[in-house]
Amino acid sequence: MPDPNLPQASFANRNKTDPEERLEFSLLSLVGPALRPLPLWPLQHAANMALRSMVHRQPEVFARLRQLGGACFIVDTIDLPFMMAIWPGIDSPRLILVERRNAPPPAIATIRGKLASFLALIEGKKDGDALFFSRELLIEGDMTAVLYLRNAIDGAEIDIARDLSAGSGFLPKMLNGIFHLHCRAMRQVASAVTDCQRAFAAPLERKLAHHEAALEALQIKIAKLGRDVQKAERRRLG
Amino acid sequence: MRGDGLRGATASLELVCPAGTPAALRAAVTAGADAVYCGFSDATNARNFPGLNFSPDEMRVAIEFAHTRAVKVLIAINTYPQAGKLQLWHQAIDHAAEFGADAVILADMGLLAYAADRHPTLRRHLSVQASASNRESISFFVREFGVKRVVLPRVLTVEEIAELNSEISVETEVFVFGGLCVMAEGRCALSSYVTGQSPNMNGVCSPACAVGYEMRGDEMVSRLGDVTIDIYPAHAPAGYPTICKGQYLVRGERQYLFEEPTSLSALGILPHLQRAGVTAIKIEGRQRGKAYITDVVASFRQAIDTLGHGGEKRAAALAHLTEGGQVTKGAYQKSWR
Repeated sequence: MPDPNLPQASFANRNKTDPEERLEFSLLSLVGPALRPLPLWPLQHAANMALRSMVHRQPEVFARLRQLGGACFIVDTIDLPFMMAIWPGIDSPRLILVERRNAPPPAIATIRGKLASFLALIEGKKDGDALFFSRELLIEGDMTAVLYLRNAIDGAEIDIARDLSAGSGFLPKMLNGIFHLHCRAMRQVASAVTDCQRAFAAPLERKLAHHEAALEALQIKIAKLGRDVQKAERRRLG
Repeated sequence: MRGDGLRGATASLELVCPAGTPAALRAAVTAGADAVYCGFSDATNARNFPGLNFSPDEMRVAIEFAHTRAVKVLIAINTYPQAGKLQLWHQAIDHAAEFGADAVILADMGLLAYAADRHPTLRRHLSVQASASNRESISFFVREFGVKRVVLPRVLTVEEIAELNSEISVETEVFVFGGLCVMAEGRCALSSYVTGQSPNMNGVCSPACAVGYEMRGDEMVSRLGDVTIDIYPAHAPAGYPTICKGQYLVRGERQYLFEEPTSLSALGILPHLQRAGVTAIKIEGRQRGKAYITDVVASFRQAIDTLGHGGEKRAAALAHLTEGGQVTKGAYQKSWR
């Protein structure tokens, strides 16, 4: 039971996000199921290239991560048929996709969540603490190592599409094309749905704003009355 | 600096924003900060987390970046020096002066004296860690160390802030968003009791090495050292692993003993704070990511620029970034004593 003497928190807006952002996020989650039928080797190849590109473009980030030495992290993407084992602190950082039927290598920490959450986190579009608060990310293991990793990544300017398209050949070009098409489609659908949402929500939002203003005025009055009562009580007690 | 002559007569509140990395500083500047506060990568500041903060070289570059965009940089050196290691804190102040920081945020009297003596032109702000919340205390720091601004603890009502401002001759800065500490800041020993490290001396509320999470089926157990802080049911919003925000068994009943995991949000009462004579408003969260910085800073920038309009709606839009998924106006509208 909460302490009645502590400020009362507002639960009204719990976990509320911008509708457009929420929609884009849910559409991004389709990437996971779309990857399920693919064999692992082209994805492993693409992951290797993307990681090499990141190391090349962000040497200072990986220099910071050297403090982690040979520590391995398991990134458990729950909507994919595989996990990722990553060694970001070694001289040539390494990433291996591990099928779920196989045991992952020993790791210093495991981070679990949907692919969309990881992509947003890596690109700095989502805040790691917020994902943790909302339980979209689950973490087990050495928190010092996890914070090193999180802060180094957040301090970088990572662009996954750019890193996926690094290198030459058919596969990078195809992956980059798929990623761009996917993003464009997401934006278009998001825009259309947001327009519809706004049309429906506008009258309700006006009403809500009116109620919020009235509620705030009442809260201020109640707080003042509470203080007046306390003052009167103190005066009464001398 | 930004805003003087740019934002109009109504926008007099200075927006002070956090940055834990150079990328976060760039995000804060781009999103509309008037000033950014940050610290060096060591125990001299109260957010000494693994992989966070600035090396001296990064700080120099960050200050240059901010200044070319007319944004101030305030350097937090706000822990209390450990015996035998004073040089580290002195060096931080010397670096701040050398790099052209706009102010240092200090709590320790010895450091305030050092800064006033060695770098008299370097502006000195009194950190919230000094927990100065009355006229006598603040006047002492102003008189003895030439402090120009006081960051007030998060325990005062708006009326108390207004009264205080009428009695002192120094700028005040108040927290308006983020982590809510209702303890006597700078004196809290909860973390130290469990882990041997504290925010006051080591710059950490809960040192990462002592934090542990364990999944028990769908439940998540959060621990600091040997103390279980909370057991979160499936999908329930979580909070930081700090002792003050845990649930404990008290006389057989499970309850929050100190405070709930809740974030402060004063977006809806900025006009009240302005009328109370506050100079600057501060966003907590140097440990947070770029996405948090961008969203929160942009929302407060808009709120300042349109003071008094749409604050509650903007606060709702930031709810997804809050601890425990909850917000409160905290002590600003407290009804308890």
